[in-house]
Parts: sequence; structure tokens; C-alpha cells
Amino acid sequence: MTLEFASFSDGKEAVAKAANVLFMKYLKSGSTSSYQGEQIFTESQMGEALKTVGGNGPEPDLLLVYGPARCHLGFPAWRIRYTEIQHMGPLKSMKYGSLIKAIYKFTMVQQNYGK
Amino acid sequence: MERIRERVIQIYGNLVSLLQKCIFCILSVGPIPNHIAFIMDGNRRFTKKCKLMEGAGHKIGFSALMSMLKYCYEFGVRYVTVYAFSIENFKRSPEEVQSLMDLMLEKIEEILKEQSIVNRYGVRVIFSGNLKLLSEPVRLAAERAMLATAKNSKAVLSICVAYTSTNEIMHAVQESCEEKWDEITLLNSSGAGYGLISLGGYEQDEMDHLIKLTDIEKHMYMAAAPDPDIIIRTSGETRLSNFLLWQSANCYLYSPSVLWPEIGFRQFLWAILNFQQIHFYLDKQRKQS
Repeated sequence: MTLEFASFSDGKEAVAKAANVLFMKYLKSGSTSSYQGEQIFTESQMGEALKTVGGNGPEPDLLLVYGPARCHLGFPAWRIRYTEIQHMGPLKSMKYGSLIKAIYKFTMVQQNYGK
Repeated sequence: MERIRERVIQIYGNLVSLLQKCIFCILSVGPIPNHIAFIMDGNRRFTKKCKLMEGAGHKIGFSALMSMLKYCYEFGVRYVTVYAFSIENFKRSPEEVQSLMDLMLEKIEEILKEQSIVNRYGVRVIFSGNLKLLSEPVRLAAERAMLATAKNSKAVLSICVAYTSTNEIMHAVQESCEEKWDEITLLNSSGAGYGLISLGGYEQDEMDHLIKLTDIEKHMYMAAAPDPDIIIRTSGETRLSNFLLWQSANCYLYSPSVLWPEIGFRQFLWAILNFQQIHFYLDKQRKQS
């Protein structure tokens, strides 16, 4: 089992760092063609750049939020596209039973991914 | 007989309207959300559930949207965003995509009419997303709608079409890079570049911060609106499906179990009450970040 600690700076700040990485790559490639209008980056390139700055990793299937509100509080955007976000209540009331219930609810979900 | 019935229905309608206004008055003692976003999920399930013809769910969903917009603007919510069509939805069958595009075209024409909700509440309409992916008639209609409502200033309606958060972020990064490139080229050509193109003149530290967070944020499709306060996704689904992931860091996520065409005043009320309850906590989180 892997335990990963993420923080707020792995969100927007990591995207800014990744943007700089991509920009450097573009400059170093020495391409002098006009930028305008064409798509120069793909989402997978963005994902790779995020990985190099430490802002990317496996996408969670289930996000359990412990706190007063159901809110993801800035979890890295690139990783929670299709994550099921469940509110579990305050941290001090964390119980094994609620965890099982949350996982059960997750197994009942059907995703179309847009289709 | 018919006239008496009509009169009764009218009186009932007025009473309901009055009751809603009273409830809004009481609620406005507490914090009023500035921006509410809707993920309109469940139209196809509604069609199946009520055994309707294909596409009927989406049409009823549109009326549900008009009701929700009315509640929002009457209550004083200035910004409303709706997830109308995701880039991922292009994967659906061509017939379904075409019927959704046709519905969108039809409804854009409708909302631009004189007595529509957009003119009644002074709403400026913005289409957010990669509009180049849309077919020409839809894109032109969207641009026409944006132009026609550009002067409205009381409220804003952002309609996300051909939109995903990851596409939005990537597009914003690309625009920031282009802008930075233009800046550097300009400096270089005016002689003040000192070989900036080859980047010999920059320290490593500076190179890591050429593009700042503020540069990226101003190029987002949703830059015209503040971060949402509430995101409501119907049908009880708890995921965001690539919608406003960047902007929803301190946003209350509400997932009522009703399908989108069934959403009504009760769900709106519940969302506002919950929002008011946790507003202080989320505001604190926002100030900390």
C-alpha cells in the first residue's frame, strides 16, 4: 500500500510550475513557427509536466472529506476529474462503519464518463 | 366555469410566488451566495423513468433550468454557471449529439427574445469552453447571444459548452505561454532583450517563475466570474466530472438525489440553507489559502 501526502501547493501552484516547464521545453525546442491559434500542448503533455514538478499522481476513485463541509479544499484539479467525493462528517467521529458504508455507496455508482 | 378555474390557478400561482418572496426575504438575513453552478445530470434517466420520447427529458430539463435561474436571480445570486455540454459528451452517438446541438440552437434563439428571462433580469450570457469544437451554426448563434447581451450588467449566466476543466487549464497555460513569448519577442526585437530568446540572461530562479499563477488565471474561460459558492449536481452523483475543478477549492458541493428535470424550489432552498450554515467555515478556508 502506498501512502501519499498531498498539500494545497500541489494544486494551482504545481500547475504554474508545470506551465513554466512546458514553456521552457517549447523555447528549447527552438521552434520559431507562429504560435497563434494552433494547439501546441496536449493534455497528456500537461500531465507529464505536472508529474515532473510533483503535482500529479494516481487519480483517486473515492475522496472522503472529513470536516464540517463537503468541499474538496483545493485537491489537485488534474487528479479529481471523475473522483467520487463523499462527505464523512467531522474527523473526530470517524468510524469503521461509516467507512464501509462509503465504500459500499461507491460500489453502487455507475459512471458513463460523458457517454 | 373555465374562467373560474383559470382565476383559481392564477390566485394559487400568486400565493406561491408571494410565499417564495417571503422565504427569500427571511433567507437574505444570512449570507447570499454570489455564484451558483449547476451540473444538469439525469435528463436521459428521467426520459427512461417517465417512458418519454428521446430528447424529451432534455426539453423538460431546459424548463427546470429556467425555473432555477429565476430563483437564483430573484434571490440575488449574481453569477450562475451551467454545465451544458462536456467535451466528453461528443463521444455519444452522432444522433444524440446532433439533437443536443439542435436543442441548444433552438434555446439560444429563444432566450434572446424580448420577454425572456435574460432580458427581464438584465443577464449577460457568456459561453465558456472550446467553442472551436462546435459546429458553425451553433458557434455563430453563441457568439450572437454573447454580443446581444454584452451590455446587460445585473447578472451573468455562463453556459459551459465543449468544456472540461482540464481543457480549460491547458488552454489557459497555452495562452500564458503565447503571451510570454510575445513579450520576450518584443523585448528582443527592441534591442533590450540581451539574448533573452536563448535565455542566457535569466537566472534559474527567474526561469522557473516566468509564467505566474495570475497569468494562468486570467486566461481561464471562466475568468469573468468569481469562484462558485455552491455547485449543485443532481441525480445524487458525487463527482464533478471535470467541471470547475480549478475554481471549486472552497465551494460547497451539493448532490440532491432528484434528477435534473425534477429539481425545484425545495432543492434550491436546501442548498442555500446548507451554504449559510457552513459559510463561515468556507470563508475562513478561502482567506487562509
